[in-house]
Amino acid sequence: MIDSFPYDEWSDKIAAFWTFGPENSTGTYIMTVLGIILMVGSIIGWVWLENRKLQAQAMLLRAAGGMPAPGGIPPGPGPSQPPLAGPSTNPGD
Amino acid sequence: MASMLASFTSLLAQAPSLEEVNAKVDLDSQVLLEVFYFFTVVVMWLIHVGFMAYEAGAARRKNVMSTAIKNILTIAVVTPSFYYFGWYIYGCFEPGGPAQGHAGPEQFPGFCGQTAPWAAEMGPDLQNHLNAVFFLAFLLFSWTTGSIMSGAVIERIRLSAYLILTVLLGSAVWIMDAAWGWSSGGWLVTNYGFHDSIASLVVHGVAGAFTLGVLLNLGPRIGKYDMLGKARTFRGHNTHLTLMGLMLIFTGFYGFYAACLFITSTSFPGWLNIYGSPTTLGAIAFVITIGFAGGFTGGWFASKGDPFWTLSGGLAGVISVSAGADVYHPSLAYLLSFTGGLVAVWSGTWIERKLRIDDAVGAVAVHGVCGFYGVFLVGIFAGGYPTGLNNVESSFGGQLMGMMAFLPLAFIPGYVAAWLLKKFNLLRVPAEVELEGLDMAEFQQDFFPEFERVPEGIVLPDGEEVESAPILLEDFARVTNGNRPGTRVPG
Repeated sequence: MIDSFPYDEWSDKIAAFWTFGPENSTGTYIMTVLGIILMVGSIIGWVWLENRKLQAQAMLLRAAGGMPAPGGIPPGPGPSQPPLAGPSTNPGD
Repeated sequence: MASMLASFTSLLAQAPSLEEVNAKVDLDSQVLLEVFYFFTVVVMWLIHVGFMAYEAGAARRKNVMSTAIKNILTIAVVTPSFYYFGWYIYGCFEPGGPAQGHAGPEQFPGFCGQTAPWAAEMGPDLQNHLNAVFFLAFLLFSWTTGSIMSGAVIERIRLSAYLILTVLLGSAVWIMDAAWGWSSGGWLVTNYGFHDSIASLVVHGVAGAFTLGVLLNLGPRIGKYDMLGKARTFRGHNTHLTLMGLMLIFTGFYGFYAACLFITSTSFPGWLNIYGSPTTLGAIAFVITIGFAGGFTGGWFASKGDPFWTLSGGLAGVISVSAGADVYHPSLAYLLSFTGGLVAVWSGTWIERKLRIDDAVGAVAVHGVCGFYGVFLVGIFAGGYPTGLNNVESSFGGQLMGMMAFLPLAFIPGYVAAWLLKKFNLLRVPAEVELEGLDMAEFQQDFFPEFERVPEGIVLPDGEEVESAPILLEDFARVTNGNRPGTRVPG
């Protein structure tokens, strides 16, 4: 019978088991610090990676001579530069 | 007879005591609130689906994905930053600065300590049914502030710059103002009776003011203004998508409104607003629904039937009556939201044409101006209403105090952060990339490969639509020569 389950006893065991829980444990602090490092690192990564992409594309466009037609297809077939990140657009990959 | 009496006594002995019944009812009440908040969060996701569709539709074809990805990555950056420090700001900054230790406000002892990321309430906790879902509802409000800015800056801001700015707005600036003026213990509430029950100013107005600071540094899109500083109009690539996005935002707003109330029937006899003042879910549902009606009407007439501004007028109408949604009569809300629709269109036009600020979706007008307007209206139409646990009467002066506190709180960080990014050349994409379209640089692909490209159009100040290429190339030359587009040329 479901109403005969020892819910309180089980709750204590589960609360004690939760990974790095429930509070103020060394594990919680370590996970918090690691999470913050990931958060800050990913923002730095976004800045760095996007800057690379934008500078490369701008350089390519300048080197092509003249400016592209606004919103136009870039010169040549396929991507105008080797992809620096993101999923491949080649269905064969 | 003796046997019946024995059975009855036995049944009585098995019956739970009054304390046990009370404990069960209390638990049920908490679980009900937990379920309620959970589903407000689900409904509020639609706001973000809507913002993505709205902005992607307003972007030109060459910028579709770079626009949409901003809304998605808002979730990626604001969620952890709000978890690690945003919620702590809400819990601990109600007196203005950091509270002493983890003391928290008197009204809710210990709330400050419950908001630190290592607190029991910020992890799995079988004894607490409220903190986690309450946190989540606020997190969704935080995403909304980022999404409000997101639309204004499309087609020229760097994705990474936007992400930095949205962390600042979503996890620090807006939640600081919420601690001050959108909590029962906030200093503006306890001292001045500041009343903004469904967040006209604390979410919308503040996001709009922050956005204005960003736009002043970001500058207009290439081709937006002619040599005389007159505004041209870019055609979004899919107006239907934009309108559908707005309708999704409206749907999500019902979740947003509902999440601004709470009920625990074992502690209070009925629904309370964020300040702990009584209201009902029905009262605010009345106001939001008729607010859309008034806003659509005002937007339609002020814009002479423009579809974008008609729908934006609906949003503006609701924002204009949100601050007093718990106390307004529906007819009053109808009238005020109509004026909100007018204000949004007129101020949006003024910002674009007179201030020459290129706000791609009118966010500063719709959210910023109407957010402040909504709080201003409460000072007039709900003055004397007892607000918060101290029952301080709302007043025009108290509302002005809130506006004066929140304008610099929002505008200055937006302006300074954008200025710094600009100084490090990290705010705006290179002009060549902007001209070609951001999607090629960011993703190396066209996201409508099955459709033939047609020449991009632009609407001149006199209303004539022409091919944009010559105009954009001319403006590009001015930009690369150091002349900012939109600069008035003498003579």
